[in-house]
Amino acid sequence: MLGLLNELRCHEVWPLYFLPLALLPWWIKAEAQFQYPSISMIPHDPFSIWVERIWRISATLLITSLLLAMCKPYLAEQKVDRYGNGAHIMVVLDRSGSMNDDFADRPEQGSASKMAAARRVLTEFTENSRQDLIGMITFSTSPMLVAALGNDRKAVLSGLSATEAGGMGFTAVDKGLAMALDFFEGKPVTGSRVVLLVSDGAAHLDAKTQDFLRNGFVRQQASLFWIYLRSKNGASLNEKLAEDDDQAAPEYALNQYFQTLGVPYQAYMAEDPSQVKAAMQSIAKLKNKPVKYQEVIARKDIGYLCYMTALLATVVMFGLYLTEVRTWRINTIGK
Amino acid sequence: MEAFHYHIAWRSHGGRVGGHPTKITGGHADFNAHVPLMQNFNPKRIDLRASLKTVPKQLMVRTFHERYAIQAYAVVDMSTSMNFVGQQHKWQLSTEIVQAIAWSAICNGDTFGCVAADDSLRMDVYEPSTHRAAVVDDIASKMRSVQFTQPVGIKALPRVNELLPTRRSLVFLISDFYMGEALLTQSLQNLTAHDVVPIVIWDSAEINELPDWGWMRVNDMEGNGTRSVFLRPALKKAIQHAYHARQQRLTQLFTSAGIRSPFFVLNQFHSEAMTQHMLEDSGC
Repeated sequence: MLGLLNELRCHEVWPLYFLPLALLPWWIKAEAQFQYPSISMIPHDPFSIWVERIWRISATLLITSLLLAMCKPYLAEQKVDRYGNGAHIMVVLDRSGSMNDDFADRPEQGSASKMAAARRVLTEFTENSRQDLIGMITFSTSPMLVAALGNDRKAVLSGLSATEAGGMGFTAVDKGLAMALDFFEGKPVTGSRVVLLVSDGAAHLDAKTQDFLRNGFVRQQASLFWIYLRSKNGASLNEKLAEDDDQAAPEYALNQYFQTLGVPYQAYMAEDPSQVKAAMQSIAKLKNKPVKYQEVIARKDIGYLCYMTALLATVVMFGLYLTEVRTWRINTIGK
Repeated sequence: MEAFHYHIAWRSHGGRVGGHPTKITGGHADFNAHVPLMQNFNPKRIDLRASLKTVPKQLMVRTFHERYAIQAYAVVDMSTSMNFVGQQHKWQLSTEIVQAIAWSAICNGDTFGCVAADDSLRMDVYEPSTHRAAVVDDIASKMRSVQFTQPVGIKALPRVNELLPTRRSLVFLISDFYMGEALLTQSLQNLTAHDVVPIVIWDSAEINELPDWGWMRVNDMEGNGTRSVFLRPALKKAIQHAYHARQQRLTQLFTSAGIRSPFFVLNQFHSEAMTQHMLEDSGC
């Protein structure tokens, strides 16, 4: 609670100079008063005295809270340490043109495209992993940041729904992975780090890039999961093509390379939407480790509290005003 | 304006011939004693029956006490609380009462005088003792022209005997009797030479006819500050109780000071009730 007070800020200070006005209700005597011959005849009544006090306190409260409201107070942005079970997950989603195709290689009416399947499963995954930190990057020819690593689920979900626009371009896996690794850079390792690559193809990585990525994974201690959305007649990750041509079947080469990274690596070959789901479920089981993260709470306007108080004070004062005696039985004067 | 009758149980000492018993021998109203004829040579009053009872025989004469007039005074409280307007204007009511006293006194052959006091003695409402019948109108016009401005109390009440004669008089003390007990006791002590009739003027608006519910801020008319009063049946009852207790306390105070019991006037002055009160309790 005291911590909250430390975060209290206000936009304006000048209304506070008028705070002495709050003493006004204790000075004024200009109230409707009845003349009574001798108040010594009226018995001492604490309730009446408190009614009077409550009236004055309400008036003071009204003035004070309105002045405070004029200061536009707010609670500053705060960072709160949170603990949970989960992982730091960077989703690296392929948005290349081929993702628009369905698993059967030819888009058919009503069938799910690979992108749609990935989207649906990722959405579900995001919604269910309440204590994970999730970030998302989409890549085609070049990577694009959708949501930085954090627990802002909404950003990830809106990023996912934005993929409905359809993919385009090539598959630049290396750039996407490099960007994902960048988000782990310089942050404390408070949970297991996972890079979740969702793609339907791969690209050839040259030796320099391979070294760069290997260094990155080792330094960030990030594990890698690859969900390979395999088309019916797409290349297998495990079967080496006879031609021994990396360029022709980059998926196999990439899988081989990932296995040499020196960090935990798992590849899932998904050939239809249900397999994608199964793959995601096995990942969800793997990543449960205690996570410490900081949640940012946006700054909060608390002027409404002042207005509520002012309203309350006004209601009290108005109520007392309504109970006030207007006429005393002196209607027979001058008879 | 109706006159009321009053009767005193004490004997006055001289003055002018009037209607009240005295200790002065003379006249033919109140029988005093049988005395020998030679002591009071008044053959008209020879009492043969008393003469025959004497041994040795001598002529006896009846003697009587003279009836003289007394001085009646109205002592009026002029504190601001007398300006209260409820069912009646208290000041107007006291003017009526003073007029009734004056008229009764004049009709009775007594003199009438008026002394008024607030925090000081009020000479503008002072009326010296007189037999003039016109005093009834004089005092009424004096009292009607009074303007209440500043809130004042009645601190000069113990000093009213400065304007009263030393001879025992009939003093009507007209007030609402809201003053402190010390002041009242002292005033009554200073008035012990006189036959004091307290007349308490209260108004039902200040006692019974307060609203049942509601918040009112009341201002003391004698400048003793303000008070917040949240009226509700319980508090109203407590106020009525307070007045009842005050009534009993006043009666007790007057009795212990050795003067007549007070005459309570609520809203209206009835001269018959006043007559009744004066006859029932004719003072010591």
